[in-house]
Amino acid sequence: MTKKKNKSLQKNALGIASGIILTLIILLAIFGPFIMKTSPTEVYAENRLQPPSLEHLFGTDHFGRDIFNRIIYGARISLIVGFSAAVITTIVGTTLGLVAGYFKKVDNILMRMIDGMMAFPAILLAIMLVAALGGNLQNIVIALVFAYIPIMVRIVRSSTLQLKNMQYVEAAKASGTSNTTILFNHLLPNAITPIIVQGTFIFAEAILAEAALSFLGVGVQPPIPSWGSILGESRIYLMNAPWYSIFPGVAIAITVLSLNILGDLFRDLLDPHSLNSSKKKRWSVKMTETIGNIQMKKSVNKGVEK
Amino acid sequence: MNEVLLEARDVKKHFQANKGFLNRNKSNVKAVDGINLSVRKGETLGLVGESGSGKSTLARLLLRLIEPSNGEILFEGDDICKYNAKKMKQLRRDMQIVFQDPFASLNPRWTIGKIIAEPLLANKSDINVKKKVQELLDTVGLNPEHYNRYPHEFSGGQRQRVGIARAISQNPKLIICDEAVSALDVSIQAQIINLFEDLQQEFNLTYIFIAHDLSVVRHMSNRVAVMYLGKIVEEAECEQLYTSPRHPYTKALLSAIPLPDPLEEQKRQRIVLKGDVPSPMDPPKGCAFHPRCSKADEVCSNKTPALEIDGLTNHAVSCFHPEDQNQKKREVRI
Repeated sequence: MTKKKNKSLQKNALGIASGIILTLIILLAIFGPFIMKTSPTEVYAENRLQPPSLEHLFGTDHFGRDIFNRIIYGARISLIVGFSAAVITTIVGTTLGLVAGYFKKVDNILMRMIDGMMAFPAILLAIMLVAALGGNLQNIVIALVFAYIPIMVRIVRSSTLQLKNMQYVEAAKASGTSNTTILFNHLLPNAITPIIVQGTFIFAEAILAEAALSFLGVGVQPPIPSWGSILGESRIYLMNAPWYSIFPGVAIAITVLSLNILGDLFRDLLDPHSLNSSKKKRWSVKMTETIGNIQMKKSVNKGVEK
Repeated sequence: MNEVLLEARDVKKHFQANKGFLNRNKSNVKAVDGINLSVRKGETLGLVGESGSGKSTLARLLLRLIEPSNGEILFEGDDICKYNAKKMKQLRRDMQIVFQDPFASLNPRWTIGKIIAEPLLANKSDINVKKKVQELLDTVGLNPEHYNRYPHEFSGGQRQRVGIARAISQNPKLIICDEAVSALDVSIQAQIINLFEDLQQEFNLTYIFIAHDLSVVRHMSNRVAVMYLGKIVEEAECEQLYTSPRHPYTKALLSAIPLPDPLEEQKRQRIVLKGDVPSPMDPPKGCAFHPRCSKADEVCSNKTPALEIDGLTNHAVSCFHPEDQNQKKREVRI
């Protein structure tokens, strides 16, 4: 097997692992709260700052609340914020980017506005908006959408600018195809790779940003747990109760890392050359094929060891 | 044969070029600068010229893919530049284009069935699209079962056939071949040229055949127009143009054709033109060709020659010192 193939296999394996981890986190976020016996906001003063034990897997915080429990509840908030921010940014940003890239007149006006938004650091813009609108979940999502939309618009616009000069677009015009069809059936499918990749990264970034906002105290308000707010509350106990900070930090790190790796995997899978005419061979099949390959490789390796 | 299908009258396209942000001097790139051209039904008009002479821009103007800065384009006697969007859409059925690059002209994310069906779907015809596409695939010599394949699964020649199938899907009257064979291997070129000829007979098509390969143009065309810097410098019946070119530029172009016979090839005298094509942003005064022309004199640098037609032979040339038609017939064998 060539080196290149090995590398892509490794990448796919990493991607699949991240996919599995993310699925687990999402499942925990959805069903976890139903399994938990205690509420994440109830105070047990006698259990203050307990180190991790069998009873409290990740230990307890300064109000005696179970950190494992709070992280699982917090996952809901973090994932909802990240996911909605990513989806809204992707949909709105893609539409704006396509329109800006395709219609020259809209381009100038829209891009100057976007440039203006880009002049602010994303996190500062978000803090400003949350401070102005109030710190509930909905407003955090709105603030993050505003913070990340300029990059999305820029990326989609530049793809569109490049693609609209392709001869197949010209052929479509010569065939009398409408502008809407050209935008959404010709340009969008060809620009989808950077869009999906960027969308995944925005998902990760938004989780981080939400954590940062909550850490700074402008995000989700206590006692509702989010990964960022748990981290924020924990910082004064860093020396006496390190587990308090470590576990939410690890949760954020794993989720964000998985999302980034997954974004990379999408980039590879969405290459048009991986399109195949036999419709059966789709992603799912490719995934299982890769898993099969990995297992084969393992068994081969074992054979070598023996 | 004599009915005119498409006529261009004094068509110009000037692109604006800003020299810089602070320098507000706007200069125009005269890509196409006053072209008169007519194509008769059922004929093939060859359009030759070196890179940057405005051939492709002219093709796009004739299809109204870009708007002309000046002039009229008449299709079957109607000025299409005045058409609104709806009328234009109907007209698009009658005129199609085949592109140079078979890799860029097909959307990599569409199946070839969908690509070929695009003009049909754009005009919402009632026919059975899938059946029609499979017929078209058969017509251009591809396997109808390849309907669901993607472009990257085909070779360059096959892709060009897909492009041709898309162009003929609505039985157009006119097809503009914009360097349609330039990107292909010689053997594939021959196949595609034969396909073009077969289709012309079968569907009574009219072609505007743009190329820089003079031999291919000679093989395909009934009439040939030579372009230089956005203008037509010579236009004549194909054989006449190749046997007795009158414009010095045409002569130089033809002298560049290599001959297959090695002995003849050794004797061939190339007229090597001095310098490069001048920038269309700043074309020379007078005759655009005079800085490179061996016959140029004072008149050439002051006055612009008009395209004058010899009524007897229909041989049009825009030169103050054209080669005499009967003086010496240089046989250029290809």
